[in-house]
Amino acid sequence: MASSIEELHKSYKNSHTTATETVKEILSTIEAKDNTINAYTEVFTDEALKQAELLDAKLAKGESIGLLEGIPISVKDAILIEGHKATASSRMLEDYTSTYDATVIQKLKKEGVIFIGKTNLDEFAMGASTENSAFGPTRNPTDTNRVPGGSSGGSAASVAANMAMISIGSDTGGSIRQPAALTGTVGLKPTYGRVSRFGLIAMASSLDQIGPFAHNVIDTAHILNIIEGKDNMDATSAELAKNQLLDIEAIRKADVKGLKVGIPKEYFIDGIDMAVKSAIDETIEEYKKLGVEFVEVSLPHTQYAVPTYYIIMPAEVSTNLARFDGIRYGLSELEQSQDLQEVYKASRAKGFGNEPLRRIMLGTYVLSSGYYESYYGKAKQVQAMIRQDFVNVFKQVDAIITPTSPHTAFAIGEKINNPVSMYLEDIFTVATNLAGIPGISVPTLSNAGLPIGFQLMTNHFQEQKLLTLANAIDIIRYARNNN
Amino acid sequence: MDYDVKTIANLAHINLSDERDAMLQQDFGNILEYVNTLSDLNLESQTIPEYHTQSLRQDIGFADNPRFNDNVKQNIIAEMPLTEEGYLVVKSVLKK
Repeated sequence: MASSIEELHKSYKNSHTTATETVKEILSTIEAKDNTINAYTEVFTDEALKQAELLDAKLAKGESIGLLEGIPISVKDAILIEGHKATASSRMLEDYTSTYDATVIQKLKKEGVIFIGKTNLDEFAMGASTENSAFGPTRNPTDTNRVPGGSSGGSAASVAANMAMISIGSDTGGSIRQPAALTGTVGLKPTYGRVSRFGLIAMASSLDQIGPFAHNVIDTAHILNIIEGKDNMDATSAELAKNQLLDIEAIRKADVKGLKVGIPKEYFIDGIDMAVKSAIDETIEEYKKLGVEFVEVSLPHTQYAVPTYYIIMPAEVSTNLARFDGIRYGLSELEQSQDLQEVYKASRAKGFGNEPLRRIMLGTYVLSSGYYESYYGKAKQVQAMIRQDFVNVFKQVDAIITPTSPHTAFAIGEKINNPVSMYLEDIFTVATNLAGIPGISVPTLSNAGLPIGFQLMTNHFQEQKLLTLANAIDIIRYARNNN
Repeated sequence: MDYDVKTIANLAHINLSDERDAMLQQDFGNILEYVNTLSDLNLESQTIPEYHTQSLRQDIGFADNPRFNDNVKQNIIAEMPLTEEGYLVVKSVLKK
């Protein structure tokens, strides 16, 4: 299969390949690999082939096609596609069929992409390993004894294993960037509000954001260019100013000379793998050769980001997931129960796995009378301080660089019974969500062993700068891999 | 730390099995101990910045939105666990 959207588009136009050949190749890869990797919860075999045939007929007539037409895309199973299951990898929604399209899906359908299927995730996007799925863990394509990260682990694995060219995931505390880092893919979390969340099964609404996975930075830019923008169905989605729109040609040129990037001293802590630290150092050296200036910066409230996140997020989880009560949709014990309270309690006990249960309980506790101010109230104050730290730093620098994860992919089962250890997987990513800024994970130039990603962050709605900087290293990586 | 797992489960409308009760007794204490590190941070002398990401607008109601086809209502009803004559069935709220 072609390695990028533009390459596949050219192949279609020049008749070097057909959409049917492309889809068949992907379906055969899924058949060969997905019994082990378990990236997909559902594969749209017939629908994808039918759509490919229609595109081929169009090409045969000599009609022009759009850039994204025929691009094979997988979608995290927490995003609604009308007529297809949307399970959130939970028993609670195992038999639920989406009644409408999410806004991002509607936009991608208009462009003529081919949806290959829905991908596995940690139940209701709660986790950092994709082990918390009711449908079994997803495995890392590079080493199937290891996790692919999470919660969008199925999306990351589908791209890494060439079972899709692009995937659409969601990121509440690192759920796109961390799996991208662990699988050697590019993962972009846009600014909060840049992409509509309508049709995303909500986890923590003030932190959730939809974004793409791809093999390269330019592909993430092409997808963001389509899915972004104001949506009347999401009151937090933003109207983009002209200077916030993407200029893909400028991103492609990757002119980064003179840009200033901050290295936050709080992120380069004890406990980072030596391989990760070396890979980040090498990335910084490459940037320096391109004329990027680096300065040390401080984000003093960073140490409080994870505990802050693990108060605000469960508080929102406990309210968002209150809708799963066995009455309107999803798993229900209605017929077996005597009264309304029993319907709620029995349905929720049966439908939720252990991690959603922990977070609902924690959220209920921190919002309960007598504890609200000391937990939730204080966490919201600290969130404001964390955000202010970033605002202050972005007065001095254009971007910030950090590792995406303190280590490479860990073994399946290693952390699943230790929730606090699993929560610390988000240590480098959660602050981005708390501040609402964009972040991207890009593979480093390291070729040794398991994939390692680095993270870039910029100020709100500065995705142009973020993607330009990210692409500068991607160009070097691409050149090295093809020499 | 002052908490009772069974009371919280009751507030969260979840029946707890003995196995899950035991799991949560252990996990809940560890998680609360971790998030309590926030109590080390004294904010009393600090000015907390206020921010809004963007102003909120009125959402368009589901029924008023032209993007939803006529089947949406039927599809939503089809997802309901129990219906009678097109209406959602709810168990009694008050016990006799």
